[in-house]
Amino acid sequence: MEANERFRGLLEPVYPQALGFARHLSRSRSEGDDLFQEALIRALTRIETLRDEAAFKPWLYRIVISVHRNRSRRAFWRRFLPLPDQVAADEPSVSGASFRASDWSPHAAESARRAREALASLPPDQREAIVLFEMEDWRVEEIADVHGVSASAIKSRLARGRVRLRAYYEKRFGTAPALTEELR
Amino acid sequence: MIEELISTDLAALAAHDRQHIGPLVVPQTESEARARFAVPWQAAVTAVVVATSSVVGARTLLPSRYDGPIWYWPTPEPIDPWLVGAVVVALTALAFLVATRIVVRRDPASALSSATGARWAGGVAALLCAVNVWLVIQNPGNVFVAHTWSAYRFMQPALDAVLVAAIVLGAAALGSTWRGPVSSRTPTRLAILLLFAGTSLLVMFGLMWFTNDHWAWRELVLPVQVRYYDQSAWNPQVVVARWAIGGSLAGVIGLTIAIAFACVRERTDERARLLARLEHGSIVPIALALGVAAMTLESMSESDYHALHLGQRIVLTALGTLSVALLVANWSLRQRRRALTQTAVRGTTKLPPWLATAAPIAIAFGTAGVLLQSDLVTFDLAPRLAIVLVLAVMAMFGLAGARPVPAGRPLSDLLAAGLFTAIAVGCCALGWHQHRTDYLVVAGGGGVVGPSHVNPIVTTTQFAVVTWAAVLAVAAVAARWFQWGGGRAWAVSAKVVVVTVLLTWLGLNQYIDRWTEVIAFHAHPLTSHVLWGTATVEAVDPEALRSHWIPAQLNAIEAGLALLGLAVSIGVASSREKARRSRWLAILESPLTIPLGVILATGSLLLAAFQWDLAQVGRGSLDDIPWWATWASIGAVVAYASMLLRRRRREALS
Repeated sequence: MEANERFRGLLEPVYPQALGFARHLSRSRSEGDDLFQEALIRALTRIETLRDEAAFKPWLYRIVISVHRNRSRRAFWRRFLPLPDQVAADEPSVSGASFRASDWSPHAAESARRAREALASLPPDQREAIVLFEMEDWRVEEIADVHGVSASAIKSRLARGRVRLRAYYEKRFGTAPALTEELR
Repeated sequence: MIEELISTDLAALAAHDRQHIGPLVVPQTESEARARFAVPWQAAVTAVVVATSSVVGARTLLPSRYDGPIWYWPTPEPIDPWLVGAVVVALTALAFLVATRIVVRRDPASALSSATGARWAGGVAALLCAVNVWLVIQNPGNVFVAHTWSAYRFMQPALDAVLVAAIVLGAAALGSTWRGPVSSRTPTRLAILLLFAGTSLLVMFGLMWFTNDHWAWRELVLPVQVRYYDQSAWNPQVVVARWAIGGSLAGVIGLTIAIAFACVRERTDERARLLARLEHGSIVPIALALGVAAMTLESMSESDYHALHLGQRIVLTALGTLSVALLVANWSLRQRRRALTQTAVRGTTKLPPWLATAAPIAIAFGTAGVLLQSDLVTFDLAPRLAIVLVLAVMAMFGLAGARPVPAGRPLSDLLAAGLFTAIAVGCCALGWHQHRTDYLVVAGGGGVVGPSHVNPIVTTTQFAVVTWAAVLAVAAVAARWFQWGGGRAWAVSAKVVVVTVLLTWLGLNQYIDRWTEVIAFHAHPLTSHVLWGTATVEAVDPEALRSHWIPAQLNAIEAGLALLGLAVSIGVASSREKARRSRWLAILESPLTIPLGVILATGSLLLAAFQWDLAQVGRGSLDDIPWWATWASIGAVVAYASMLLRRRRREALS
């Protein structure tokens, strides 16, 4: 129980950001919650190995990334065996959003859904880099530290990720008028 | 313009995902939380289904030596082998898909080992069925004894190999998934396990009889003394066979119901997790979430269903779930096409995901075809080569990082390997001491078949089945009750031990008496039966054969000891690796180790395949084939161990 309390104390300050990060990485919010839950269990079991409590946040993010990678590998098999309506139903409903969604406009929801699809089209390493840099406002050096690679490698992933994102949007909208319309 | 839209969308997503973050609930202890993930008997079902389908698929298509001009079974005509082949292939595919569907639905890592095991066992079973079909094509109607014998000569060791592969994979699946504290439901689960083990055996026996494979039937069930019975008299065999058929039907029905029940539970769990999220916030302890699963679907209120959204509102009836279980290939055409064409954009690999599953099977098919074309004797003389082939392919794909190999539970792996070793050694000793040496002599215008050992008790087939049943039951029970929270260092060793035992067992089980060289030996005639012709023929002296084959078995033992040493050294080095990295492990984890091991395995395998031709030109003899198999085993296992170690290191670093 002592370990649990220690874990809770460390987790509380970073909990919203870390959960948001897990959700960004996933194909749906529900899946992100599952990912984060699995990461929490793994973190809880390894909390004894954390020596520097100041480094808890990158340590936890590293675990989230690791779990995300593992789950991504299983994506092929999962696609054959989903609960049919789970993904479709997930976005508006699972966390209760659809029932308390007055503050969430359809346009914004569509925008978020589009971004999620675009991110899902990226390989995990590029997705993680893009999410941390663009959405979580991390610095390149911090991302490199979490991934255990050089800063130039992260820059390369960011560049390749942006190219892919751009290609995704170009493919989706095709023509400039459609894009202009969407922006309007 | 696009960049602007991307930024807008990403910001929207960030805002969206940061909404509705529930209260922080720290998970319970790991053992409590994770224990509830596993559904043990699902893995048991998987293991039994895959093993049974492998065995049945193999045995039912086994060309029988007795399908010649003289018949000893009441069936006057052989069943169309094409029909049998189609049915068996379909059954195997169905069993594989159902098993995969059930197990992989369990998203948590605990079930992944089962899925991996099921995938490989299914691949091997598919390979075997294809080989069987090929043999049937080559020998339509099994009319010619000589051809049938040639087919059988190849099949026997391959069947043994597949059988043992199914055993090991099934035990691994059980060991890695069967966890959690002993509960009041344990007796029920064990009863289910035993039920499936028993019914699967009945299915196997029944199908053997049904497909007129009375050779295997006789060898498995009937005492030799009543083998050639009088058809006009009362025959206990027929009574037993009828019971077997009835049992088989009951087994199939029971299996179907169990699968349906598994699906119901699966759906209930999933709904419960969704419901728990709604009630307790985004992050819910797994134990709490699955605790809600105790609720039946009927006990959920209407508001619950409302909260679970329209798509989740449909209550599954038992009949509906049954259809879900049976309609395994019910995903849409679009999904299938996407799965076959889309590369792994969501995955971490650069390879298309379907390739990771299809390629090993394709390579195994291709290589097996090459080996078949080169010489059928190869697999007969060294059944280990089939396993070597699979290991080498796995190692190469492991190097490419195509598929993950999830860590199993160390103790269960060790237990399974240890128990398997003990049982296999005991059975091997018994079987070797009392095995029967069948022979076929074709000389001039006649042929004779029969036993050359007067008191046969344990035969190869019986030995394999007994081992399978014992390992299945014992490993399941042991892995269920023994808990161990130690490090994962020994997990790699355990896996190496498992394949080493498998290879050694196969090496010890190779009998030269199933080889055409039997013609070259002459000894006192025993009770034999003339298949056709009237030529005078002679039986074989089994002692001479044994003495002829002992060096090959010593080779297998030597390779086994070396590989066990490798496993122990890996375990010790991993356990001691606290402060600094072990040099021994560094060597094994080197990127060069896998290619070197695979090259050694492949080279040895090819030399074994072409040893027949080499012997014709005076380079070595057929006795060298097991020797090449020894080196092939070592190379493949080293590559396999290296792959596991590299994966373990990567996981540790991440």
